Amino acid sequence: MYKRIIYENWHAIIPLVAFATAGVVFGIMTVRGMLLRKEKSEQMSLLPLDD
Amino acid sequence: MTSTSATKVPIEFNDKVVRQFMLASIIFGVVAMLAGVLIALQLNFHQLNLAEFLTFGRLRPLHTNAAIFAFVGNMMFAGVYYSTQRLCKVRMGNDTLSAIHFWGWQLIIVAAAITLPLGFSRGKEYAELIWPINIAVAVIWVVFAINFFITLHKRNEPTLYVALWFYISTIITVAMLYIVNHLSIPTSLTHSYGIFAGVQDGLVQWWYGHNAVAFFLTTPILGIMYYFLPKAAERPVYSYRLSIVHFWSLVFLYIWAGPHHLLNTALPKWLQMLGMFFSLMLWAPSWGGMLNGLLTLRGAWDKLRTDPVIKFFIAAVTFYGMSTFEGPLLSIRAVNALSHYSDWTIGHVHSGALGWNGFMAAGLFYWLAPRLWNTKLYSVPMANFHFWIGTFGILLYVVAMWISGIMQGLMLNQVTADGLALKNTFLDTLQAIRPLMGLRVIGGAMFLVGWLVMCINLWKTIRSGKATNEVREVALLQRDSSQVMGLGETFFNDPLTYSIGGLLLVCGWLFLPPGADVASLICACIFAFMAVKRFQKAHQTWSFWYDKLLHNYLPFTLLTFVAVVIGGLIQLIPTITVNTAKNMEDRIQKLYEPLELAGRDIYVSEGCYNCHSQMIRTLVPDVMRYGEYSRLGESIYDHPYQWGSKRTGPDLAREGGARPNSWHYEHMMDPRSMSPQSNMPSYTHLKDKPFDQNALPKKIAVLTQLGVPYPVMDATSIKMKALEQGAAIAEDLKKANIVVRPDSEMVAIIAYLQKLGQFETPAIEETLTKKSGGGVPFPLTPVNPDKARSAMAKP
Repeated sequence: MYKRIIYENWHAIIPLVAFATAGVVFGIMTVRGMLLRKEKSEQMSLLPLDD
Repeated sequence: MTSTSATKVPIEFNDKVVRQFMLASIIFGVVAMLAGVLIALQLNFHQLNLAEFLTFGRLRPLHTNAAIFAFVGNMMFAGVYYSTQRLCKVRMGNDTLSAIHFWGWQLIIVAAAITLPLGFSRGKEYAELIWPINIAVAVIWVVFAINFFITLHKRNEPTLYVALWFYISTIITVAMLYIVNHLSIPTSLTHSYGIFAGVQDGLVQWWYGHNAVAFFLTTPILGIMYYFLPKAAERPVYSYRLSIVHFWSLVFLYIWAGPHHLLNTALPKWLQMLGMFFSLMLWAPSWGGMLNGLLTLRGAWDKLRTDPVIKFFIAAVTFYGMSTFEGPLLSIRAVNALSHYSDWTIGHVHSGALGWNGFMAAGLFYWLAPRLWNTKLYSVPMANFHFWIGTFGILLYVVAMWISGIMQGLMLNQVTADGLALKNTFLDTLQAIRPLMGLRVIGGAMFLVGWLVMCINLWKTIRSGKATNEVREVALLQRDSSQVMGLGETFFNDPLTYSIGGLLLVCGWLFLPPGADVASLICACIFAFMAVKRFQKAHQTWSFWYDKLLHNYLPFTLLTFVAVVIGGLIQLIPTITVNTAKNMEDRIQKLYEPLELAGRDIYVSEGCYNCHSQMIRTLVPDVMRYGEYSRLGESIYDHPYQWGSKRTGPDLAREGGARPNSWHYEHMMDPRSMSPQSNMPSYTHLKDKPFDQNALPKKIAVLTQLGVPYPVMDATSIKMKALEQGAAIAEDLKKANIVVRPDSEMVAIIAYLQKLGQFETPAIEETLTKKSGGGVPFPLTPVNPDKARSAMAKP
């Protein structure tokens, strides 16, 4: 199965795959970040200052 | 819900271990920088290679290991131990484990400082330490991990702050990388052969090496940034939302980028493309993190004028931004063609190591020392002096290396007007960059002076105070079973199912045979559509799941592990299973004879790979200078691979047979006699030292076990073969009036050098060679100015 990756000249699609994968990760985490409630975000960001 | 109770109890933090790690980092920082300045001087003045155990090849690994593991390692542990206790509102899990961690780590450093100058090396960058020390590192790392996770388990703060996420990713990823890259079979107490060879070894090495930068020098320091920068600025981090995007995208993307260290080499092209594009996309999370750090100072920029801690932190974050901009740039294949093997890479590494790590360490220590010893900083002007001399030192260093790297790269590629000959010898380019190598020494020395001023400042600070452990009133955490996340809930939920499912389907598009791949792609699109629909209906459930995840450190750790392991598996498994000797359709390297193997081990032990590559890239200037480009099969039995990452001297991939034995002998005895103005150390000690005949049978047995197809040989015949070949070389040297013992290390290393580039020609290539009459892929026979060097040895 892997021989196809090694020997075939299909590496031209790699940039597409890399961009798509990274885009999905960015997208999911950006949505997650945007959905974080404001009070929760503030509470979390104040943790280091909670002496 | 999990909540904190009204009951408050006093908790004394274990700040002793923080003080210990901090002092160790300061001391080893001096050692690492001193070693750096010395080896930089050795490149300018070869006479400073004072003894066998003080040559550049042996001291350079000492410098890199000291900087990474001793200096930054101890600094990272100090920051992690201090901030984890505060963020978890609990004392470190176990004092004995903390002590074992500290003393064990220092013993490892001492063992490294002894073994590396003695020439005990595995021959892979930042992974040189011998196998008993590798085991000690793994054990001590596990001790650290257990201690850290016990602390998380006992914590009195329900949620995990972003700094802790970065620490978790560091702990699990470094363990994974270190163990895989150090898998070896010992041949003696001080020597082993790694289980990977050739291209596999190269890929695993840079999967490790690149991610040592990512997960040892970056993620823990980002965790430290997320805790200590808000503390120093006395305001919360600019955007907690951005930190979520920063963390997950960084840990997911970083692991894929390793192959950018092997661009334009014999590494399969799909891996090169993958490495390059994931590196480019690292720009986004890296700069997101940098901006989050810089903007934390919003409304408090005036502190930058008065507070040395803020100065160091902000400059460090700026250097982080600079080096993470430069890294992806250097990963572009066209740029890499010029920059790779040159000083540009060295400048890039030091803008990260000195600017990011060194300044974060300084800021951290200036902030910690007054608090850990309950006093005030002895001198702010001294800290300011440290900042400015350090900043100018780094800039001088980095700019000198930029100019040096670009100039040498351009000169090496320069051809004559007719385009048929290279214009400069390698030594011409070395002479051109000498002034810049001198400026590098001054820049590095300036940074060291700043560090020494810090040592005095902190010493005075410590003397004026008293070691104090902070005691804090903490509300105990009331644990609620409804907040506990089990394995089922961790892995079987909508967000994860859609993410992993989508990824598997995309993999199906890549890996499945024609027909099935298109079906997989269509399924992936349908799956993505379903995910969006599902998210519209149940986004609150998804948010709740993520919030719950932050209350549960074990599920969080497991998912972080999944995020970092994916990239490694996709790159490594095909390479390890397919790129083996039996699948090679091209040239296959000839096996090393016993004496040549002994010579190779001496080459590794002397650290020759620090200056010489064995990889002729698929680039015209490389082919013109060194000969035909290196094929995958030509290093398929090399344990370890020796492709190298820097050319302070020329490539040696096709050195075999290029020059007579006498040339190599004279060159090893006094490189200047054969290559005027060379900066290579003399290796006179090889002349009288016998190579280890008795180790050869075991070494060959281990290599056979690893798949190198040696014929059956008994111990006596192995030794006899080695001595016979040695005698033949000694006899040949006698013709040039050179008398050398046939069992000397000198003879062994000559045998090895003469073997480089020899391969078995498969039938198909023989046919092609006969048809074309040449078989050389380059259409012309180039004029190589370095060939003149061989003529000098002739009487």
